[in-house]
Amino acid sequence: MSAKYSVHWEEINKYRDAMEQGEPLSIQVLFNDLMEWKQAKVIVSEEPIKGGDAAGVVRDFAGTTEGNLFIKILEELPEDSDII
Amino acid sequence: MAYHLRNYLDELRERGELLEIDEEVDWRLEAAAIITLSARMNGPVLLFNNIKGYPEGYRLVSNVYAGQYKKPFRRLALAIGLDPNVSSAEFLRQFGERFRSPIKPVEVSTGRCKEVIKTGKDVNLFELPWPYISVGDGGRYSLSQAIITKDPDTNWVNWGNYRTIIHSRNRCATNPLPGAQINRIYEEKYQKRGKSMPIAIALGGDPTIFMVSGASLPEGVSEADVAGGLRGAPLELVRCETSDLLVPADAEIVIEGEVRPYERLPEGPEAEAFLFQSGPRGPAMAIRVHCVSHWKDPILPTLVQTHLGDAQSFYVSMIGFAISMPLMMPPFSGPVKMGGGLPSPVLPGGVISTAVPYEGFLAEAASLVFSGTTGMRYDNMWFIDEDVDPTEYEQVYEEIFANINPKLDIHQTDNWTYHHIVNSNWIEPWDRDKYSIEKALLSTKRWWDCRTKNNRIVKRATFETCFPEHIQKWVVENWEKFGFKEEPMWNKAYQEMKPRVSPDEFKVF
Repeated sequence: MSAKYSVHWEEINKYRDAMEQGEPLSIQVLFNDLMEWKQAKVIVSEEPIKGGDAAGVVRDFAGTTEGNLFIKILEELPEDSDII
Repeated sequence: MAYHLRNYLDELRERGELLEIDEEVDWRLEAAAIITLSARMNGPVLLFNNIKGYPEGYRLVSNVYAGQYKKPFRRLALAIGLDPNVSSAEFLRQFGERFRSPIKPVEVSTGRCKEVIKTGKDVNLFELPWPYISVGDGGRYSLSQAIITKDPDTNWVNWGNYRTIIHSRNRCATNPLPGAQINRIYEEKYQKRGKSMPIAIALGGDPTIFMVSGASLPEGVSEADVAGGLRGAPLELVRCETSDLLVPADAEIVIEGEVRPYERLPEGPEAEAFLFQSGPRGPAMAIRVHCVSHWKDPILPTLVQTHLGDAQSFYVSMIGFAISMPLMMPPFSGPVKMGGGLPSPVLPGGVISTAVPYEGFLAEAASLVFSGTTGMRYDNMWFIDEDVDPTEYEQVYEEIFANINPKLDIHQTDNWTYHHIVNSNWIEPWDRDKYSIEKALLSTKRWWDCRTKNNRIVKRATFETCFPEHIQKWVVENWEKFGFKEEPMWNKAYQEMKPRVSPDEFKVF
């Protein structure tokens, strides 16, 4: 796993319109160094982002895919914001 | 000090069944990969002494009770002080006897689990070497533990083992199966009343803790009492730092926290049986962690469910069935002799050795089993002859393969409620919504009549039916003379069947 971050496919699907508009999203991001989930304000794109990193996509039944998603962390949000 | 995980590891070491790996191994995939390949070869218990990024002494041990295919109970037997070479039937008998002789635990003032205590902002779950097991997992997992909660009305303490994702430094999320007792305690009591539920997770300690946490005991029965019975001595428990819950004093690691009403965190997917990814990622009980305590040099037990021989598969399939079912289902005290389940986590089922006192009995028994809390987990029920040992796989397989007429003897019914959805890793995503109700899954159940049928014209082709009795006797009586070392397996029950070839017919040859 070479990507610095991963995101869950459902969140990408849920916010696809905003993502394609380049709008910031508030989603859960898996920080792959420790495998820690954090809620963060991010820009997500299918094209490389300046100052961003490659991201993996956690898929429920097909492993994690890498290669066509990029993410830029704008801000880590308070921990309680990820409670669902 | 009471018996604990390290005593058991010492015993394994003395018997040459513990492999200590001193090479640096990454918690990220590497440890699980080694465990997986070793499990395929019925390997030893693995103790990883050098985990990348972790201080010396912080270790990982995996599949500590895993058994070999032919001797699935070997290490479980050793862990409770029985002869590891005990037969499966004898193991289950003794295990069951102890299981039904609970001994209450004693409270002690402190224990090894208190050597390091971190609370509040100092809590960081990532200071412990949780493994990341498989590519695609939603995170690092805790899988071999007792999760401890208390009924607020009766003070009954429940221990269970549910997969738990390490979500962040001070939070994790646990995902009990539908029907698990913790769900009722939390949802119907704490949550409904708007109260937080204190919770503790204990890893390590006496091996019996893992065994009882995986069993389905009736509500009101304390797993700690049953664990004491298995050990033959009371467990020593110590009070938590942040709640009044009692935890095993010699647990390697204790996590204390609370589950607030209606708080969930995403959990899954996670590689379960045979490394199928099981999910989908969904909401699970959010645990806010307030304290982590552990030994100075903690050994973190984990579980990689990879192979027939992994502890979880055997435990759930076999002991879960053999021990829990009679407790949960008293009507089965009649002609039924419980067996273990066949060790298949993807096609789980139980084996029941029984006489048939009246027509329709098997259908009733199957219905009773599939409807029960424990039986809901099973897709298959194999009924075998009453004189066949349900714990001996070879005999069970022979019953299945030799006695089944697929048209007549396999009875299938659709749309039963199945216990797992998180474990339903074989179901295709597009079928998931179609067959799901709440967290359960509508599934197909089968019961198989694998008993010998004397009313059939077609006889099984086996030693006892292919040869006339005098030839069978001659072979058996001269067995040793031929040079064989093991006793011949001559199934006496089959002798009562009409030989496929009569002595007279045989003479024609």
